[in-house]
Amino acid sequence: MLKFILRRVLSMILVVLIVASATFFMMRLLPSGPFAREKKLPAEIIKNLEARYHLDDPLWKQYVDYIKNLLRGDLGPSFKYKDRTVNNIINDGFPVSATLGVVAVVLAISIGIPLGIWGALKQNGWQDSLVMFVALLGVSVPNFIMAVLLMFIFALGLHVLPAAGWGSFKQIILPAVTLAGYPIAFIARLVRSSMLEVLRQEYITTARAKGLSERLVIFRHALRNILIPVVTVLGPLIAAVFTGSFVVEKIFAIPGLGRYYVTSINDRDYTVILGVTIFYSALLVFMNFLVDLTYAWLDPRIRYVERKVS
Amino acid sequence: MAAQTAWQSKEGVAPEAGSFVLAPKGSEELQQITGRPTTYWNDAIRRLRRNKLAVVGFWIIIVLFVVAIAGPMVSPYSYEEQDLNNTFQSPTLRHPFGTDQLGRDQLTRVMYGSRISLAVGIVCAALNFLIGVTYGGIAAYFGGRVDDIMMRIVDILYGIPTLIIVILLTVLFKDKGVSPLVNVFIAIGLTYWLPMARIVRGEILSLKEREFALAAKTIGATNNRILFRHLIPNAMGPIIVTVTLEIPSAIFTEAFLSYIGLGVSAPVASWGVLASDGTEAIRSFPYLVLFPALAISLTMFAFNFLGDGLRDALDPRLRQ
Repeated sequence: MLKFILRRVLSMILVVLIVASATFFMMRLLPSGPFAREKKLPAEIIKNLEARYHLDDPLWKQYVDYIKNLLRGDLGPSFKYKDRTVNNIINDGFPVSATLGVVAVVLAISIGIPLGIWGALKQNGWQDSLVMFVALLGVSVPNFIMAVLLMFIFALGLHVLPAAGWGSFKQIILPAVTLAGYPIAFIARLVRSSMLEVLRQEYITTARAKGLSERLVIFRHALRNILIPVVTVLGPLIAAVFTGSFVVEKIFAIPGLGRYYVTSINDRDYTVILGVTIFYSALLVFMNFLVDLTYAWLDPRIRYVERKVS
Repeated sequence: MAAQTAWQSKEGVAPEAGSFVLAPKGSEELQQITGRPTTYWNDAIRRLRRNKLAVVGFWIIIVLFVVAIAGPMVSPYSYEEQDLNNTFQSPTLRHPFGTDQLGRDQLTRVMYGSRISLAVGIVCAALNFLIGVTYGGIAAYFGGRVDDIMMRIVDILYGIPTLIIVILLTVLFKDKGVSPLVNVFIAIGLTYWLPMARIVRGEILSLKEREFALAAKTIGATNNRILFRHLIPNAMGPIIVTVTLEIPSAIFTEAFLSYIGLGVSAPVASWGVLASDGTEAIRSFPYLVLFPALAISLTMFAFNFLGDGLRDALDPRLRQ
């Protein structure tokens, strides 16, 4: 187990370094440079700015410096906002995004799994059709449409929830539901199909044959095996929640990291784009690692066995 | 109906309780012992036809193509033609979807948007075939070190959310002066082949061990021929399913990028741009966001329905 963890940690660091390097050179490839504004700056000022941010150093030196700072956890200054660093921006935005993300993931799991089980137990009944329909709806309606729709119904139409902003519990509901929409649908579909498969297995027949109540059969015996596929898709789903936050935070005017990221892209604030990209990748790679650990813990058969690239 | 169930059950479709109905006495059906001979593809099409949602999805897509091609030609307005005397018109007979903040006919713009979305879908599908299938096929066929290196690259790219890669590429190409639409094509084309590569690799890994591959090799077929004429055609089922399910996500990505201002921008009428413009006016003119929203959702619905149906019809692993 220790060897497995060690290997994974090393490969995680490698992936983040590769992402960091690739993004770094990509940002430096941009021809217009970070100080290209609509109103052209005088050459001297650009020169001073470049000197201040060490952009006049040779590229390899900039790169080495950046990686050195990165390893110390320093992501550098923002080009756009003089007195802010990328670390400041992440410190401000991430707690907000994380709160929203956690609420969304919890919602997704606690609605998606029961929904999927319900559908499977009533296979071919109207309940099943309903679950599948809701699931397809959730996968098909884009998150920005869902956001606008929910806002229109609950905030502008019924006036029961605030349309935008951040800080109160009520303000979390709409964005969190929007973000959870896709994962709920995805999990419900997955749980339904794996439940159907599990219920056909012999150990379930055995459990029923020895007279266990249906509830025990489902929750004690079937559920554990259903959790495995759900855990494996958690990684991509968390990624979907991250990227969903780009647009959801914009629509609901939430001061989270996703919104800063989009703003920095529109502003061409290269150090922020670079830093936040690295941060997102590191976070995601780490989440995938946690998912893999949970996976190994849930299914003893895959413990210690090194996962082949699949 | 009775006859149909009788021959269906012979083809390995699990009969449900109560689905056996006696054929009427003296009818021809009693004599009929064998079913029609069927091939893999005929069988798949028949399964697909029975899936109502998939059929609906298929027809929606056909209608969409017709609207995308013919709609803007037939419409008396152009997507960028402004009429500042008639801004923010509610839906009427002259403008069934109303007009936007510059008096442009919303119906024409939505129809024009379907061109962009479908173009994105087609480009994504084509590149999926070109890059994903070839890449996964080569990795699996040659195996060993080649496979290791090629799949490690895929793993690394997989670790980063696709949307982030797409955004970075969009930023890069935008600065290089590439037109926004081409830009979106490139970004989507360069990233959406990843799942395809993985799936094709998995399929080819098992197919290449089969006897027909060995037979081809013993009669001296080249690697190229074995891979592209023997192995990949046999993996066509999963490939088609993957493409059909990647198309809506590519269409979504274009709309998403345009919505947050990174994709195509006004006056070009992508559904993302329309939805974004509509969102700004949602308090007073909700119909402006309604129609593009419906268009995007319906399109994604249709492709997902069809893709799901195709998966049930084509994917041998799901056959019971």
